[in-house]
Amino acid sequence: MDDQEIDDRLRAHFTFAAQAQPVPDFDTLLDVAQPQAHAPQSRRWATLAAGALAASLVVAIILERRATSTGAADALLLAQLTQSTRWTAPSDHWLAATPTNDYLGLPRFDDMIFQMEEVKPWF
Amino acid sequence: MDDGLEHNPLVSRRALAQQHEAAFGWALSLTGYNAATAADVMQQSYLAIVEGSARFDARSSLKTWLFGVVRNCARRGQRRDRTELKWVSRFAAEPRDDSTSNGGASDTQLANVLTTLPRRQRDVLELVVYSEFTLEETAAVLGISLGSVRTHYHRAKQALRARLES
Repeated sequence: MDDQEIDDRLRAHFTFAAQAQPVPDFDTLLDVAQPQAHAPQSRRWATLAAGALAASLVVAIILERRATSTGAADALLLAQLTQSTRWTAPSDHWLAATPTNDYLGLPRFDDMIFQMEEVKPWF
Repeated sequence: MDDGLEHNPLVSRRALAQQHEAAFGWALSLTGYNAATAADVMQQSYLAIVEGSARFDARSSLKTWLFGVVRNCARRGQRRDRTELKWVSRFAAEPRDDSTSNGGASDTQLANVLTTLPRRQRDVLELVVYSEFTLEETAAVLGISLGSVRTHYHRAKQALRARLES
């Protein structure tokens, strides 16, 4: 069997196989494709919006991780302590406003002098 | 006047229409001669061409490029639906009783031998013998090297000759 004979049989076979099926209408296929082709514009915007959302999520996750890392947590705690100290530490204004500083647990200045005076004779 | 498509200025509707039947024959071959799947592949191909995701730059002939687009769309569709691919492959592997489809005579012996060839060899034979592509054009359509096409073509011919004569 020579090459030409094989080619002829192949050609006949492929032709037969292709012709056994009806060819879909070209105009219908292309016309259906036309309106769908306008979709990419809106699809592009949708993709862009989804991309922006995904990027912002990634940034948020990174920032969150940084905030909860050891160094950042320490800094946050220090800031909170400083702020709370600012509220609880006695200030001149507070001391002046209150009649006594007993509430702070501090000894009276006069009592301290008295004790010193009491001790002095022992030396 | 037949202008080019909006996103594919080098492709005209008339030029596509001229290749439509041959391209559909190629789509049929790629989908195991399943007309509905082949029509879907053609639809996807035209959509890719109209929207410009497949762009013709005249580096090859329009027919070569179109056959490449059809092949890519067929492959994408097969990847998308593996269940269908299995069904199509099984369908393609079975010799069909063509004698009742259009009253013609089918070469059952050749059809049976063809199903034993690797997919790539069958594609090369169909493109070269039926679609009348050169080996270079066949390489472009299939996206493989010219050397591979030559190898597939000669092995396919040898296998066919050996099995048809036995």
